[in-house]
Amino acid sequence: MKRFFKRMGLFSLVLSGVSFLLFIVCSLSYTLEYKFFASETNWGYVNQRSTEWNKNELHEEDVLFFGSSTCYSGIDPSALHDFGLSGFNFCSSSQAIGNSASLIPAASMDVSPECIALDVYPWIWGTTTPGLESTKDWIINSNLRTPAWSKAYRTLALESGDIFTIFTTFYYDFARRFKAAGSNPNLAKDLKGDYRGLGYVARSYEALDSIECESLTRSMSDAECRYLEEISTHCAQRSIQLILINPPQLCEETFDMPPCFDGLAYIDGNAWPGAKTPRNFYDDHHLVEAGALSYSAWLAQQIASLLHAS
Amino acid sequence: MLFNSPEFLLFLPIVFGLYWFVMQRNLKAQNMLLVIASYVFYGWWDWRFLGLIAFSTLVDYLVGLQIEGAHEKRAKKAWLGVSLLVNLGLLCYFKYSNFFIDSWVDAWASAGVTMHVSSLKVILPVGISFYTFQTLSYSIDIYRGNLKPTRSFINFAAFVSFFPQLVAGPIERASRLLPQIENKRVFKYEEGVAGLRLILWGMFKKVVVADTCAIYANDIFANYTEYSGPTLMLGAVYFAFQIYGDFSGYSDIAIGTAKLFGIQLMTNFKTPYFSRDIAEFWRRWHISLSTWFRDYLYIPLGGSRVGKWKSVRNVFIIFLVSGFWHGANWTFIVWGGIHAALFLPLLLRGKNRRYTSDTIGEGRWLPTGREFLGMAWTFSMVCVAWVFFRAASVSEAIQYIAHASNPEGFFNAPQKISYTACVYILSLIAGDWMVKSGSMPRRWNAPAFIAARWGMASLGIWFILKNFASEANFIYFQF
Repeated sequence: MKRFFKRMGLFSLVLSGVSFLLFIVCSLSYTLEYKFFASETNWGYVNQRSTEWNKNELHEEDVLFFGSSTCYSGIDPSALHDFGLSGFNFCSSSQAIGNSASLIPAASMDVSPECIALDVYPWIWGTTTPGLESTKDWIINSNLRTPAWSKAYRTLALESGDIFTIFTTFYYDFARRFKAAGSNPNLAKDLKGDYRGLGYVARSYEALDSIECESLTRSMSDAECRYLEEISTHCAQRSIQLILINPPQLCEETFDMPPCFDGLAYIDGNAWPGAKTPRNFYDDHHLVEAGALSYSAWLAQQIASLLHAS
Repeated sequence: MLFNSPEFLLFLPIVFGLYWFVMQRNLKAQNMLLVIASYVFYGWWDWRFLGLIAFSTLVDYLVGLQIEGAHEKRAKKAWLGVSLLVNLGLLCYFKYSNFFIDSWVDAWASAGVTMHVSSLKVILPVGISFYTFQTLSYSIDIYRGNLKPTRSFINFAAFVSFFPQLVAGPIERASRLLPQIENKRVFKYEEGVAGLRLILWGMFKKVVVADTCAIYANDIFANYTEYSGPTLMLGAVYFAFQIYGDFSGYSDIAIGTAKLFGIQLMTNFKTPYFSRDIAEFWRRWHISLSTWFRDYLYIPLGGSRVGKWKSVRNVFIIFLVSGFWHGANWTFIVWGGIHAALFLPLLLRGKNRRYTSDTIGEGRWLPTGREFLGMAWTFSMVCVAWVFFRAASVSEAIQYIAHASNPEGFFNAPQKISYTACVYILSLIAGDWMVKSGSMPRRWNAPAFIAARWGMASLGIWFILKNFASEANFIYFQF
């Protein structure tokens, strides 16, 4: 038995060595990186968002946005300027409340915002762990590598329960020391998206003329409520106003107000006058650029009045 | 609990540690631990069906003692009947009741009579076909006088529920496994290393090869009307490697895990796709099931020593029953029928035992031209049969084959060629080729090869982790 464990110990060392060699070789070759780990993508522009955030050393943003694609392609933080506020959009594809719960503390290490606006798009409710798509997006495509952000990625990977994603986190922690996300010449491009700064992505899909709706009912899982309570506690401890935002949907999704929403500020995007105009959308819930700008202006006013009232 | 799940990665070391370090000196405690661990392993999927295993175990334990204790042949026969009734009854109820009801309704419908019988809502307990056959073999062997019943209920429960092979085999014989459970086990370094290697190779086959092939096979079979002939042929090949990687991978992990506990399970696959005819294929594919049917069905029917027509009948019976064992669907029965039709010409010409002792390319790096042709023909026929096995219905399988043989687009390159899947399949073939004759592993074990061995194992682990995410079920769980 002793010999067996000794042998296993030696093999573990070899395995660590081979893994380290793999890290080095893959960080030198995009092809190998793709074969052994993952390929970078421009979809959602996490790379550009994080690069822009990194460039600014002195952060004084008043409002930080977190949420899914309805948010990064629907909310232009520059609309806040008209109300004397500034903001930044940290939203990414399928970023569920569980994902935001890990990312918000990391962002709070860089800036003390007055408000965190959390997009709570109901369509992605019902999960018990953070979404894997958004987790991988941040691990692979983010240039934010401070200890707080790295910790957030590791937490997300662990909570996702996906073993390979956990290993991928270690690799990108290593590889991003040598090459920035977005430097890959063969990067998969988001051809219908244009990064406009402050985390906002303008979408150039064809606007809808009409849509047929099916009724959809969603409910939030207990795990998601726990994540929301975590965010709420974090914000309360730092005197940050937390605002929940239900983004506008052409086909409005119905849900019972979750108990964890009690006592939290809430903006229903469906109250925006353009919420039921098909030309503002390219699908049921994603806004085209004109729609996004109009919605952002309306939302900025709502946020400003909530902040001034408080 | 699945072998390819994070829970199993925790479960195995815990049970291993308790087994060898806490309960090493007490055989009874070790066997008790095996029973508890096996019930936890099974109950992780659905604890409600633990009662079924316990019931089956109790019945065959008592039947075994009663057969041994009975003085008259008639009484022995009656007790064997109880075992057959209970085990096959459970199997029929849980696995075949809806099939029989639906077939009955369809039969009347074809005669113009409409019957309104609703299907039963029965969940198929995982592994029921495996453990019922294992317990049945125990009772039959005692009845035949080939085995003495065990007096220890714990030992018998450990034999029935031994977790590495509980849900998907190999289907062990009591005469082989029970003595190992009843006697003190000693950890052997060589067996431990061999066990870990088998687990790694099995995981590679399942997680890397089978699950990758499954992506393409599922797509092609789901949309077969949209693809050309060459793509559909490729779909059948993908499925051939999916099911082989999946099932033989499971068997390897089971055998490897058992070795870690000092127990030897029987070999279930011997590089079946290198078979030169269908008879050889069946000596190499799912060996524990084919030998079970040989010993408990084919030979009692008279085998091939009962005249030509009875031999033909026996061959059809064994292959059709084997097909039916896989599932309550006509597709499996047709699959068995195809294999019977391929096997019969060999039997009738007395050529069904041509390849019993040697392997393809024995002592050579490559097969001869004749061997290669035989292997290619056998593999092609096996792939045709797999279409029936994989399809949702017999008519769908026939349409799939009709589309595949459509001359239009026949010379176009297949769509859905995945180079990744091809590389994985080639790795599997290369691995099988290395182990097929048994000569390579000896050289491979030499200290000079240690760097290559461990380097490859490390890369294998990396690919397993990369493909681990899906946590896909094993195909044979449904049987």
